[in-house]
Amino acid sequence: MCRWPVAPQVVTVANLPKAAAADRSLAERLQGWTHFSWRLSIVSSVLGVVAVTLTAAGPQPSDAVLGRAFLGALGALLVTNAIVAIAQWLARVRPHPQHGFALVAIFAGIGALFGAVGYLSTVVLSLPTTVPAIVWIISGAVIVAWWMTTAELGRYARVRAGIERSALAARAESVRDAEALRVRLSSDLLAEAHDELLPVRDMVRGEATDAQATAARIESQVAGSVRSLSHRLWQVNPEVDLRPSTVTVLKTIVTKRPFRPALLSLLYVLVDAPGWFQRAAPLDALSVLSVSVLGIFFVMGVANYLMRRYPHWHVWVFIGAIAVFQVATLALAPWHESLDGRPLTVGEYLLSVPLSIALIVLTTGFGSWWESSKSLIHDYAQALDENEAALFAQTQAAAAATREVAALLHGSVQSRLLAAAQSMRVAARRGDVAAVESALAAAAQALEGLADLEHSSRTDVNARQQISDICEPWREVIDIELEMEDSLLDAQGDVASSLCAVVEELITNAFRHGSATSIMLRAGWESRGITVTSLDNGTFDSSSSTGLGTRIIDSLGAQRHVDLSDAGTRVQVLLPVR
Amino acid sequence: MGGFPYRWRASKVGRCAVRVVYVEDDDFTRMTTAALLRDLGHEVVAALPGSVGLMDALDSASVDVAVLDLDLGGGPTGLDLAVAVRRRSPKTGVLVLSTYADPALLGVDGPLPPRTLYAVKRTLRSPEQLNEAIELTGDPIRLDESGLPQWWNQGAELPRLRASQIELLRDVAEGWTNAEIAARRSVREEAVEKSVQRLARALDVDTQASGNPRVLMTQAYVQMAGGAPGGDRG
Repeated sequence: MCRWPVAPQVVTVANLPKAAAADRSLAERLQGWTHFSWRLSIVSSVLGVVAVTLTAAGPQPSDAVLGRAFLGALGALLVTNAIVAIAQWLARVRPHPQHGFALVAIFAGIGALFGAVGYLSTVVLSLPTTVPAIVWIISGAVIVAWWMTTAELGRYARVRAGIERSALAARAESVRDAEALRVRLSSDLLAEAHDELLPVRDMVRGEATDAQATAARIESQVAGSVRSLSHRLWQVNPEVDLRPSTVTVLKTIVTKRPFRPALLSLLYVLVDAPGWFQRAAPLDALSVLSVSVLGIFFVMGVANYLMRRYPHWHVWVFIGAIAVFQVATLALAPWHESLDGRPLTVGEYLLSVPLSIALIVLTTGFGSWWESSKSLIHDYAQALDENEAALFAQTQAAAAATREVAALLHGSVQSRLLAAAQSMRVAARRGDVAAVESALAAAAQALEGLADLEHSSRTDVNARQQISDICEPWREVIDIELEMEDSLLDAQGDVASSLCAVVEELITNAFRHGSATSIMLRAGWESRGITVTSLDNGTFDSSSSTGLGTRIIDSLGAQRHVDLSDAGTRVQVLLPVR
Repeated sequence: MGGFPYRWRASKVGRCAVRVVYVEDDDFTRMTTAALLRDLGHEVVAALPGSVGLMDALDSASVDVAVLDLDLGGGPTGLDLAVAVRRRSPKTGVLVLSTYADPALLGVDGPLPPRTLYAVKRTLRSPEQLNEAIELTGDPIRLDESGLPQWWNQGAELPRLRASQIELLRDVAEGWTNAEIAARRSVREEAVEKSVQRLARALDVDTQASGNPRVLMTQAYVQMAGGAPGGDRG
């Protein structure tokens, strides 16, 4: 007798609730961080505008100039809030990053408008500035587009964070425990299930004296045991720690995340470089510029690394990055100039700090938040090497087989047991002893039917053996010629199962619906999957195109093509394989 | 012997011996039925657990009757083998034995091949009736003259069900939920629900009664098929 393919020694997922709680906690922290950074960026922007205004007004502004400066700050504040309101409305209207390009374009347009308004305000208010209009417009477009896009992506990521993390968490643990899981799902485990259910089966076989009591025991104990087993099997879904290796993170930063420091550098160069080249020798200006850009890349790289590695310390990493930038910028204070072209005083420099913070918030805060919650995880998932991916696939196949067994236990076996118990009650009420025994036999048969499940959980039998098993009984009634690539014959798991289903269906159809006496089957790989071609000497019966077998092939996602000729029927099936 | 397609011999019960090849996947049934056939005086040329070896048996001896179980597990069914026997040995009569009241319950559709009789196992209530079935299968002239006896398949009548309803009934009896059936058939779950309700009406299952309608439908299937779906039977 075959052993039952069930796994009572269930791989429990004791840590899964913990993982889910950790994900929720992280999501909440990230959400809090979003709100914090959002408010901080708005306050910083307003303060920055005030600082720029005061700086532009000069060290001893007249009342008129000061009045115009405050009017300008107020206008900038209103425009900023309007932009935020519009952007938030847009984000609600189009909350999905699939619309990202349109969204970025809209944000950039608004930003350009913002820049233009800022420049016009300096003209209208007669504020002296050396920054050309195009720089105002481009800076506004880039800043607002980046700001709102990252904020929007972050919002989307917040929604997705829990799901993505949970799913990927399951993957990483699967990789780690793949081998152990595979072993535990092997025949030893199935044997344990067999031993567990064997006494139950014997009990069913042995009891025929009190039909009502037996029926009750079948319903409560036997069916209950099967149901419990199926539930335990269904829960096989291990959890995971997703933190990446340092090398992976550094590689990702270098290869995939150069945009934010590049943007910050660009803004830095656009704003500061003209003044440097005016007041210093070109070589000196270039040196300072290069060191500054490298410094930006370095600080942001380290900050990114720390944020990725320790997402719960995100806020402190961010504050630390700001501090580093400010200290570095202080060293360059003599190189900075006000909008009217004079060197900044210390007081003016301190006034510019909020603007600096705003800039860093825009480029670091939201972007890093987004990365830590979604693209970070995505990158980690992509970072699985080949061996890990193979183990993962193996584990997934084992888990899928286990779930299939669980579904069959819960559906077929349990239902048959309950049906048998019901039949037994009815027969007992009628006093029909033969019917009672028949129902008892049906119950025993339902449990015996578990043996059939083994086939569904076998993932170690290659296609060669399975196809041989399929063809052998059919060779009595139809000549079969088979030509297949060795790699296909050696295939296992889903590929083997799908291939065998198609082969059996083609043979069955040729004989039953085409009255064929011989069939030639050929199978091989092609770019889109596996192609199985059959040529038989029968006649195609169109009514067979809607049968169960056809639906089985359809359920595999396969495409069929039928050709009729004098020589017979040629059927080609393309089986997509991922 | 004239046009008789098989040889008659003296038997223990005074009837004529028939050369029989018997295919049945259940070991116990095969063993006992083959013994019974021998006891009835017939010659069992081969008793096979599956299709493998059937054609060799037909070729090696002049077989009068092939007795084939309908449900042989995987591979060809008894009806498939009946078609093959007809091709290979046109003079051999075929008797398909099954617990299924109708082959459609196994998912096998289409008419019976010529000179093939279909008998439901539970309607054969005595060795004499089995013997009569064997003799009628092997003697087409007698069959034409007298027709099938009155007891043939008596009590194994099916409710009027379409092939699609029988297939749905199988799915229900196998324990699939409406959602699973819908997924397997690529239809909407609501459509399956309505089909199941129509099926329940066709089976006279009272969906308002205290019993679980799906269990009652499964019982109806078990009664028609002679056992639970996927069980060990023929």
